[in-house]
Amino acid sequence: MKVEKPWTSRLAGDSALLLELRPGLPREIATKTHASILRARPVGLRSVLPGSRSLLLKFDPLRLEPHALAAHVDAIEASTAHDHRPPRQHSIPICYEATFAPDLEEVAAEKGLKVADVIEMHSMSTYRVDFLGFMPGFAYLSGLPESLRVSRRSEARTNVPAGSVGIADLMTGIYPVETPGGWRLIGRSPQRLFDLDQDPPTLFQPGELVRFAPISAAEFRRIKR
Amino acid sequence: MPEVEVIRGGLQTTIQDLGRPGFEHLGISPSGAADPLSLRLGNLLLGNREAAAALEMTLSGPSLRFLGRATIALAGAEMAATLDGQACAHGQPIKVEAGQILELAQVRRGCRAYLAIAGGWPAPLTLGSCSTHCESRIGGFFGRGLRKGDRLPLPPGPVSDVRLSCPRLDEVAPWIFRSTFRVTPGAHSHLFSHADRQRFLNSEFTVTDRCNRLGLRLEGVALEGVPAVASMGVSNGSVQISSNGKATILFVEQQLTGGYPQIATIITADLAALGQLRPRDRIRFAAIDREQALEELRAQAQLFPADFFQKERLPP
Repeated sequence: MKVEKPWTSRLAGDSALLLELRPGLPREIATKTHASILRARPVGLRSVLPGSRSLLLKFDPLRLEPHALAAHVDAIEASTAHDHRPPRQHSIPICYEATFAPDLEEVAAEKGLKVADVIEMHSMSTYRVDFLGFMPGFAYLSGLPESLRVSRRSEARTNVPAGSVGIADLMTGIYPVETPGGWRLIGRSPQRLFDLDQDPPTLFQPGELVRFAPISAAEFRRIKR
Repeated sequence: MPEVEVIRGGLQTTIQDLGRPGFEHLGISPSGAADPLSLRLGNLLLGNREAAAALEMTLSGPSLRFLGRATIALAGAEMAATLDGQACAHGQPIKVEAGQILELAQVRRGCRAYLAIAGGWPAPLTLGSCSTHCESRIGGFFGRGLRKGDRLPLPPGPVSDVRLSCPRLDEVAPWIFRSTFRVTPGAHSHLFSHADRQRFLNSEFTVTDRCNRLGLRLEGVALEGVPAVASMGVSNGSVQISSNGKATILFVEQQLTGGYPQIATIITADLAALGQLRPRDRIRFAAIDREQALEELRAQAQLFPADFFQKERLPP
């Protein structure tokens, strides 16, 4: 029986190979393949950057041929070991009040919803940590209800305050530090997401579950202190 | 331990080495010197390891009082320097005595100059690197640029092993002062129309004021058909196109994941020259094939002795 490879690959520049998961396959395969590649560490591989349905493999082009790297990935069998522990579940406080939610009204208007509905839908859902990326501790959380699906801003903001909660497509996420960003901002969390003194330094790990608890601006300030 | 006292911090003076690759899956950007070629040159001149930490000085340099002896070297952007008022040249070791003041001026050409020091600037290792990532306040000197009143420790002890064969500044200059950046296809080149790809390659772009270690936003032709793409890993030198059709080059402190399509990727050999661009510089892109890109990279590597390069490996 011919087994189709889970990935299609192509070069992205002279020193990176992009692997894209074939449509229909679960994202979990990416998480497992990622872990397997990190364990195998082919000589010349520099780093692996996960995406929503992809892995970008950065390599030293003078030491590793992309064909050899692709063959290496094909030879890797994503670990099928089953983890019986239930995933850790986080409850993260978010203040959805207007001062912390510059795009909330616009999102509500665009989706034909009341602001309160947007807040309820966002905070009643359970999200899964698909992968980390973008900035230290930034987790891509999947599970945003279809009725809240919006596009990114046409141009990224230059400064998004730390703790800002954004949505884009079917993802939500919290900006751990002040940074440029293009997601629509609908709240802010006082929770610290990244701490180099902790091991691991990131609060969220791939596979974990996240729920949001709405708080008032007063509570936000109290927690922040 | 003898120190250096910061009299004036300069516009953005940070401790940089060759960065901390391999932690991208935690969201940690490799960071590192914006012009790694000049950082390497500074280190080579002093017999340091290629990845020893140096001060990266941006547009307008700092003023530093040395409270102990040191040997230093300058490389990168042409930034006039004086030691106790005496002009000192780039591209050669300079002995500094305790009490002397090193003053760096505005750049005359380029954007970032490097102040290397024999033994490397001591800074705590964060995930294997001394590099400052300003945006997330990781590494270097408390994760930030130098300010008046800061005191940096000087490296202990004398140095050995000064190299005899170093590239000359004029051999390095063509690699770091460029206005044409060679590209190979980006992750999404195939999703752009032929007309848009031609427009991109045939236009001149101007570096805007929004130009820093995260990325360089360009002003120029707006592309017409911008495809939608899923969030994915992106690398230093990727040219991404925003929904409004405008181009941004991702740079050393880049965000690791992007949701905008990438029309092209700057070849590895031309990345150092991005670190020397400043607002209002005009640049163009030129497509070359992968073999040529690697040929350029090999040629660039030959500037340095082969045993100068450290072995890379993916950290745990």
